Amino acid sequence: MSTAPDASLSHHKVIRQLALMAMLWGGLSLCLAAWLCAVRLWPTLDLQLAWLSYGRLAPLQTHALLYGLGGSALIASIFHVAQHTAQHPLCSPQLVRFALLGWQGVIVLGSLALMAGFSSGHLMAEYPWPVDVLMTLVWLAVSWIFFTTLEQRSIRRLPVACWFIIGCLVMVLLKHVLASLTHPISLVLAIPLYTGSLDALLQRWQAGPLPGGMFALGFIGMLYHALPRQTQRPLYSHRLAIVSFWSLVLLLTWGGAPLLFASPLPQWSQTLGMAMGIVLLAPGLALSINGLLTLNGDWQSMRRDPLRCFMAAALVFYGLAVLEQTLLSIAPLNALTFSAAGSLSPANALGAMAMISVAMLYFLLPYPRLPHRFSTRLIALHASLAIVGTLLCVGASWATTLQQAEMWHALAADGSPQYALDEILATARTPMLVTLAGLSCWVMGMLLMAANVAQALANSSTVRELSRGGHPA
Amino acid sequence: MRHVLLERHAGLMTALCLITMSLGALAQLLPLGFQTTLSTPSDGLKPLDALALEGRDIYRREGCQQCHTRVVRDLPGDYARYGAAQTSSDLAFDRPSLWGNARHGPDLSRLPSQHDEAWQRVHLYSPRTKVPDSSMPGYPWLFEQALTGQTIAARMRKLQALGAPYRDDEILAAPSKVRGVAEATALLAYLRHSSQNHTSSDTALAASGQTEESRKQTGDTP
Repeated sequence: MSTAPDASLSHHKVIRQLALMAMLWGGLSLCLAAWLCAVRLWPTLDLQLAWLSYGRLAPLQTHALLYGLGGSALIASIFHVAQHTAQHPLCSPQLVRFALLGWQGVIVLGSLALMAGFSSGHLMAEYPWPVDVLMTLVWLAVSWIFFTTLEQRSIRRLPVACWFIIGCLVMVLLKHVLASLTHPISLVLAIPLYTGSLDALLQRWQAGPLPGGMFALGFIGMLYHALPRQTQRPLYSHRLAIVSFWSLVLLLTWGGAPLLFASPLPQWSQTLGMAMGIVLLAPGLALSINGLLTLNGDWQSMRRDPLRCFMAAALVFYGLAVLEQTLLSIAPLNALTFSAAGSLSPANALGAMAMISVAMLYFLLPYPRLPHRFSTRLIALHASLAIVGTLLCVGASWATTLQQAEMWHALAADGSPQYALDEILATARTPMLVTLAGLSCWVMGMLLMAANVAQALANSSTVRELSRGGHPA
Repeated sequence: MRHVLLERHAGLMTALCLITMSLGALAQLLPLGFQTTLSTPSDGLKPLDALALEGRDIYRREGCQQCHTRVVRDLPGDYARYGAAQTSSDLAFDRPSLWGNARHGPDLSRLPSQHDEAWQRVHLYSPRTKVPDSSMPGYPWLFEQALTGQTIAARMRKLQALGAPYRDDEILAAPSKVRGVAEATALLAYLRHSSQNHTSSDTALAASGQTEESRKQTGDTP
């Protein structure tokens, strides 16, 4: 498999811009996460300003991480995969520019709207309806670019990464459009089409049971493109990829209900969702294992190439997050844990989603003009910081969940609750300090990345000037 | 392997993906959409009045659902604290549903009855004067800003069209009723509204109220 950059490929600039924006959003969002964690630990830090209050910044942070880092990295990868598969520049340059600016517009406008309080109240999709419309347009543009560019390919067979991206695009459009149908009242206000239990199910259906929610397929597609190229080996099993891809496509839209155990949602729906949530374990783990086996036990090479290490860690955390979600689908465990569990757990948000995205950024940014100009040592440091940070956050989250779950449902002999609420909430303090430490690791990692990228970009512009005929002083 | 056929035709693969995904969506969502018991309000369920509706908007705007749930689940720890679990028909007018996802504070379906309005107002303004260990932020601006009532009529009319039994005179009177009221008052009106409370068992509420709040009371005068 050749990785030699083809000089005729264009639009690397757009991909690089998207990747840089992803890095920026990721850094900002992680800083914000650390700040929010600190505010919960020491509430006196709160600035008492409406625009910067916890309830408004918390969704802003998760959205900046999912859409800003994850979404931008995903679109950059989709463009890269399309170009690379077709060996042809991206079709319709105007649309490409619209996708770049439109997506950044979504995040900027959405964040401002959330700060102003124009939230739609939907889990993980809180941007108000005009931003939702813009988001739909951007996804349509990205799909159009992807499919028209693919049409130019000379090799007919689509590589594995392309199937996952196709699945991801269909899934995003389906879930996003179905779940955010509303009756607009004013420019910022809308009344959703669905009501009560159905609305609650749709919210969780969109947020999704697998890491990365509706982007789940796309994130795996990204890795299945980058991993074989980085390791110079084909994907371990084509057949396993086929099986897990189609079972994932079949099962992903059944999820959501497992998060609503013992709620007013009808019983049959809870049971069905739970069964599907448990079955989802098989394809989820298969995806992770297929990727890990591609590395073929060549652990020595990881020491030389920290990017492989990054990708391997992302795959391991992906498997862990799948396992976690499956455990949460089992009724008695869900009953114990729901009160403390969030829809985006750290294993899920940081371990799988952010790590895959960051690994992709390291893969995309040097392409094609900055080969091997990144400092390997800094990448290795970033990878270890990210892994340690995620492990700290995951441990803290599980400790809180298990401890609180037990206290929450402990009843005294007369049937009254055994623990008072403030006792239960107080148990979260120490784990929260650990979470803060974990998030700080991530923030430091992102700073290292920024320094590394800035250095590489500066080097490359010097090289370009030299090649233009300038002489070193 | 027939899969090669799919791998050669992106359009075919897209279509098959769409069909396969729709299977799950249809199987789970369509029956729910047409299940009438889900959207039929339970007997005596009243939609939120104008002030509570404005309060609901403030609840959503301030992101209260980030830390509080607003649904009691059918689990021992829940009904021992907050009374009987709601049914789908109790929540028939919930648009959007603000069930919440995590509990960094109590469930807010039913406010404990032993705290009066004044206590709640002080707590909302500055939580730690009432509950020293609380990590809740204060919301002083809710006391400074007043409602304008600009969109309330349009919202109620839309909800009426979607099935909430508002009377026309209620809708006409709504803007003047809410105009000038402090946002905090509206938020508390929403939290105290009976729409989610009427199935509660008072005994369970009283029992949970005593155990849960006994430690927190540190002087009840604002």
